[in-house]
Amino acid sequence: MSSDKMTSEIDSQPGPEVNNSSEDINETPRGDDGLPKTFDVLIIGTGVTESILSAAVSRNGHSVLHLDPREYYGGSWATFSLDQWMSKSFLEVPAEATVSDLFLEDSKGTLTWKNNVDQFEQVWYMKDEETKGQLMSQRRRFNIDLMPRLIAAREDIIQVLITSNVSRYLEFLKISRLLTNLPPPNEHLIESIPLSRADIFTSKSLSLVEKRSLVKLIEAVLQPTSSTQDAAQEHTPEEGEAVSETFEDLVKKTKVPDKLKHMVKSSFTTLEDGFSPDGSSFNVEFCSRCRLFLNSIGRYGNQTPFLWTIYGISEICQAFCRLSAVYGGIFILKRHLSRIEAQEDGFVFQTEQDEVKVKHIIVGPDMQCDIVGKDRSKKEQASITVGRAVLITKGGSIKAPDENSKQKGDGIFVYRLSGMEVIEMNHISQAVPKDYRLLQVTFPIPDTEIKQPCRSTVETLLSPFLLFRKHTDQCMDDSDETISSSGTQCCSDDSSTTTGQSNMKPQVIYGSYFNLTYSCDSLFSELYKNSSGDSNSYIMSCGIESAELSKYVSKAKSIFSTLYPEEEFLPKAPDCDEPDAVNGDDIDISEFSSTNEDPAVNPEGENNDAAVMNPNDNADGGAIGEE
Amino acid sequence: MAKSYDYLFKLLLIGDSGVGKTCVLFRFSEDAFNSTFISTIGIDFKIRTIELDGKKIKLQIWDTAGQERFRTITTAYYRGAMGIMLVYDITNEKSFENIKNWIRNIEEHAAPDVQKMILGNKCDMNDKRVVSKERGEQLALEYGIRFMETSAKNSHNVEEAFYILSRDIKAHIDKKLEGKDNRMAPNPNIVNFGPGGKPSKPSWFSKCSIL
Repeated sequence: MSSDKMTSEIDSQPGPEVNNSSEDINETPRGDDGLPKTFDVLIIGTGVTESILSAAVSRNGHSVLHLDPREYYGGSWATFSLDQWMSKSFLEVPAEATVSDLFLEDSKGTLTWKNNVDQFEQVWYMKDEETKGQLMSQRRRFNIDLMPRLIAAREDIIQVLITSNVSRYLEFLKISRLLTNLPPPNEHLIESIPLSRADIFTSKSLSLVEKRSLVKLIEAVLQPTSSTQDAAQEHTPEEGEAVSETFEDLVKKTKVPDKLKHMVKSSFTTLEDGFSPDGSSFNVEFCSRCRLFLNSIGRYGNQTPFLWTIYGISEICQAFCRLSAVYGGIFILKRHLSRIEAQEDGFVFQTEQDEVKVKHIIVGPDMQCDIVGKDRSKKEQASITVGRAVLITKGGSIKAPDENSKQKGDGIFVYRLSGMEVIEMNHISQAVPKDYRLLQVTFPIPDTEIKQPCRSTVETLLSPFLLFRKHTDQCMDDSDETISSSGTQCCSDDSSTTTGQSNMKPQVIYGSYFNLTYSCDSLFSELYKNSSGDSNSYIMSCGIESAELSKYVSKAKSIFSTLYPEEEFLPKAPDCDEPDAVNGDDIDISEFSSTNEDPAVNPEGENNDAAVMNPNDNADGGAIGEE
Repeated sequence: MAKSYDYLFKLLLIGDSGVGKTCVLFRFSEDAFNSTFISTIGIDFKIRTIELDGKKIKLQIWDTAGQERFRTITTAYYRGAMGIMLVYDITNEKSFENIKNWIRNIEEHAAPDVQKMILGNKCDMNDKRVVSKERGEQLALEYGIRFMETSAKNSHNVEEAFYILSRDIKAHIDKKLEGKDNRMAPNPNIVNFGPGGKPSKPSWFSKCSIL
C-alpha cells in the first residue's frame, strides 16, 4: 500500500536529479520508476557490513542498488527515538521480505527473513501521567540503539572511517569513566578503574602493593610488543610467543592480588567471553586486548580507550550509505524482492514492477539462505544470544564522581557490573534529553537460558544500584493496551524503598528488556557461486555469530576482496573542505568525479600508521591530550 | 594558525528530485550553471565563504546525494544543520505540494530551531509555470518562513537567498549567545576525525586530535 504510494510519487518525477537537459544522459534503459535495468551489485539490508560494502563498491565506480525491507536504516544496528522504540517496529518481520523463489542453475532455494529480537518486554516503573507525559514530550530527543557499541579508539572501524574519509559525517564522544563493582562480598561497591599511570598513583581504591603489581602487570604485557615493533616483521615468532602468554600466567608471574585481578578482568572482558567455555578467550586474548586498550587510551584524550557515536551507532551505517549515494548508489527502503534467478553472468530479480539484472548479490545477516539439493559446507547454525535492557532513569549517575576527583563527571560512564556492561549516558551523548539518563545494558546469555526473559536477571543484579519501584499490581506486560491504560491504577509504593540510602539511587522510570540473537548458518560468506559467465558471480552473506563490531568490518573487507580482488578497499574520498580553500570557487568539479585519491592527503590518514604511540607513554596519561 | 572565518554554518538543500537543488548549489558555490551534469555523483557538499557585517562566514552546503528520490534521506543528513533551503520547481506542481512533506520530515529529524527558507526554482521558465508566486508566498506565510523565487540558470536571487538565510542564522546564533563569550567553545569530549563533522569548530583544530 505504502509502497504503491511511493512509486506513484516517483512516477511524476522521473529522471536523475540534475537533468535539466531533455536528453537522458544515462544510457542504461530504465524501468517505470526510473530504476536502471542493470546494476553491478544488489545489497539487501543496511546493517554495518552491508553499508560498508555499499560504500566500498560504489566508491570504486560499480553501480549499487541497495534495498532494505525495513523502513529504517541500520538493521540490527538501528537507532530509534523513544516513540519509535515503544512502537517496536523492529519486532515486525516483513512477510514479503522472504524470497521463496530462488532459482539457481541446478537447484532451488529460499531466502528467509528472520528476526533477531526476541522476548521483548517493556515496563513503566513510574506510571503517573505527569512523569510519562514529561518523558514523552521529549521523545524525539532520544536515540536508542538496538545494540549499543563502545568503540576502542584503535579499533578497525576507526581506521576505516579515517582512511575512507567517511569520518566527516560523524562525531564521537569520549567515554569519560570506566567503573566496576568489586568482587563478592563487596559487590555493591563501585570503584573507578584507573587508566593511566597518574590515575594509578592517585587512586584511593588501590593499596600500594596493588599499585605496584598493576604497574608490573602492564609492563609485562607491553614489554614484548615494543620489542616486536622495533624488530619489524622478521621476528614474528617472537610476537607469537608474546601473545601466547595468558592472563593466568601473567597474574601468577606478577603476583596480582585478587581485587586487582577482578578489576583488570572487568576492564578487558568482552561480551564474547561469555560464550567461550571457561572464559578461555579472555585468558588467551588478554595480552592483545590489553595492548589495543592501552594504545587506545590517549589517542583522543586520556580518559578511557572508548568512543561513543553521537546520535547512536546507526549513524555509522548511514554515513557509509551516504558515501555510497554520493557515488551514485541508489537506496530504496521498505522494498522487497519477489524472485531471483541465476542467469548467465549474474542474477535477474523482480522487485515490484521492475526486472533488474545484477552481477553479485549481497544479503544482510537477517537473510537466511536455504538451497535445496546443493551440497554446501553447512555448519550447525552457530549463534550467540545477548541479553539487553534499555532503562531510562532520573536522579543522577549510578556512581557520582568524587568531588575531589579530577575526572569530569560528564557525558558517558561505562560500568562493568557483575558480568553486565552498563553504558550510562546523559544528554551530551544526544541519546537522551536533559535531566534523564539512558542506561544501555548488555550481557551474554548462555544457551540454556535463552528462553528465559531477562528482566528478572537485570532487576536482580542492578537493584543494589538502581531503584526499580515495584508495583503490587500485575506489572505491565508487553502490550500497548496495558501501557496506555495503566496510568490510572497507580502504584502502591513500598515505603521502605523510598527511605534512607535508596533515595540516593537513580530511579528507573521505564525499562525494556529483550534478547538479541546473532547467527550464521554458513561456514563461508559465499552462499552461491554462479560460474556460467566469463567471470564468477556470487551471492554473499554478511551473517556472523558475533556482536563484535570489528568482525563486521573484517567481514565487509573479505566479501569485497572476493568480489573485487584487484581493487583497493575504500580509498580516501576527496575532501571538499580544504582548510585553505577560503572560497569554494576554486574547487574544480573534476575533483569530485575523479576516483583517484586526492593528492592533498589529509594529514590524519597519512600519519596514522606512523603515529604508533610508545605504549609506555600511554600509561602516563596526562601527556597525550587532544591539544 | 589563524582561522580563515568567524562562523561556520551547515546548510542543507532539500526538495524533490529534479527541482534543481544541485544547480542552485553550483550557481552559488561556483557561479556556474551546467545543464549537462550527469547526476549528483560525487557531490557531497560545497563550501563558500561570504562576509556579513564584517564577519567571515564559511558556508558548508550539503546536497542530498540523490537520496530524496526514493525518500531515503538518512536521518544523519539532518544532524547539526543550521539552515535548510526547501526547493521546489515552479513548473512542477507535485514538487510544490511535497514541500509540506519535506517540512514534516525536517520537523522530525532536524534541530527545532533550524532556519528554513522556501525557494521556487526555475523561475526563468515562466512559460511553463504551474505554481504561481502567490501560492509560494502563501505557503511560506503558513509556516512563518521566508520565500523567494530563484533561477539557478539566470543566477536570479540565488546569491540573495543564501545571504538572507545566513543572516537569519547569524542573528539567531548571536541572540542565543548574547552576553556569552563562548561562541566557538567546543565540548572537549567530542572527537571528530576530519573536517565537516562539527560545524562550529575550526577544522584545523580537529586535526590535532590524532597524534
